[in-house]
Amino acid sequence: MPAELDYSFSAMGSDIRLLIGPPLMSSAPAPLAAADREKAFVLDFAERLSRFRPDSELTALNESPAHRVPAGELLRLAVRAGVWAARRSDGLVDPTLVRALERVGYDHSLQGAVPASLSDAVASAPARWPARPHPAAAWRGVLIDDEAGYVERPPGLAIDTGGTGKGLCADMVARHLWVYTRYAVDCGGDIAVGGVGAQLNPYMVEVEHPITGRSLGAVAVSQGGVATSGLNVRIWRRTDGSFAHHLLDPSTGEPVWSGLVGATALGATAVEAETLSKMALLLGPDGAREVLDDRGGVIIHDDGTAEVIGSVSGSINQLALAA
Amino acid sequence: MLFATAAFLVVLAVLISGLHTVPTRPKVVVVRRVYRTTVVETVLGQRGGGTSVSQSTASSGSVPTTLAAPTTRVS
Repeated sequence: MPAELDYSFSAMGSDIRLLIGPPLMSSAPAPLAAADREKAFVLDFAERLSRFRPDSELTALNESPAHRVPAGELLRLAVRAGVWAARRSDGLVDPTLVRALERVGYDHSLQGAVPASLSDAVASAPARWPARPHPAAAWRGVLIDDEAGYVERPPGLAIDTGGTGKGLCADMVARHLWVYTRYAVDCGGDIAVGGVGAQLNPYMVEVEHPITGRSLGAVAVSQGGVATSGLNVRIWRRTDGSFAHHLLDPSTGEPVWSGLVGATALGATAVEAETLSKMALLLGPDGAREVLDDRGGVIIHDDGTAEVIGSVSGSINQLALAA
Repeated sequence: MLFATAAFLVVLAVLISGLHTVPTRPKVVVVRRVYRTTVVETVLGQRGGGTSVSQSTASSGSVPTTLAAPTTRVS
C-alpha cells in the first residue's frame, strides 16, 4: 500500500491529526503541502471562532449590541452548524447556553487545567435524569443571511459554536482533501473520513474509554464522521464543593447527570456524529439507544461498562470496566 | 525528392545523436523526510492566558510505516 502522510499539531486546545494518502490526480499538491495548508486553515479557524479570545469574530458577534451583525463566511457557517445541531436534536444541543455555561464556571478556557475526578463526580452526582430542551428555544431566533453577510439574533443572546466546532472543522478540512485517495481528519477526537481508498479499506478508529483512558476497541469507518462526547475532560469542582461539567441540560442550565459518562456516534459527517454523541449523552441510556440505533455508536455507563448500539463494524469490548 | 529525403535523414540523425548525448544524471531517491515545526503562541488579554508551545511532526516517503489508528475521544 502506498505511504500515507501522518501529520499532527496542536490547535483548539486539542491534538489535530491528518492522515492523507496519495493524490488522485497529478495536479494535486503533495500530501505534505496539503497538510501544511490545512494546518494554517485550522489555526485560523480556531482564532476566529474562539469564545475565549477577545479579538475573535465570535466574540465580536456576542458582544455586539446590534440585532443584525456583519459576519464573515466562516462565522456564518459555524453559527449555521450550531443551529443545525439544535434543529437536528430538537433543541437538546443548544448553541445559546453561553450565559448558563458561564454561570456554572465555564467562563474561561480550560486548556491545560487538570480535570476533577470523574469517578468522584459520578459517585456524588444527584439522581440521574435525561436532559430536555429549553421551552423558549432561543436558538430559533438565530438567523443567518448569507446574501448580505449578516447574523441576526436578539441582542444579548450569546452563541457558542464550540458544541459543533471541531466536527465542522474536521468536515471542512476533509472536504478540501477530496483529491486524495484516502484521508482521515482528527480534530480533537472528532473525526471525518473519506476517499475511495477508505471505502475499500476502512479506517479502524479506536474508541477511548472516558474513565480508564484505554482503548475499548475499534470501529470501522469508511466515510463520514465519528465523534465522542464525555464528561471526563471539562469537569471541575465548584466553590460549594459540587461537581460541574460543560454538557448542560438546556431546560435547567445545570450540568446533566444522565447515567452516561461518554457516548461515541457515527454520522454522515463529523458535525452529525458530534451532534448525535451529545444527544446520546444528554438523554441517558434509553434515549441514547434510540438516537444511536440508526447510524451506530457506543455508550459508556456511569459504572464504566460499554454498550454497543446499532450496527457497528469493528470490535468493542463491552465488558470494559472503569479502572 | 532525393535531396529532400537526404535532408530529412540528416536532421533525423542529428536529433538521434542529440538524444544520446544528454548526460545521464545520477538517480536520487528520497526515501523518507521528517519535518518538525515548533509553534510558539502567545495569547494576550486572555484570562489565564500565556505562552504555549506546540510541536508538530510530519513524515512522508516510501519507507513502509504502520500508522497508529485514529482515536475518537473527548477533548
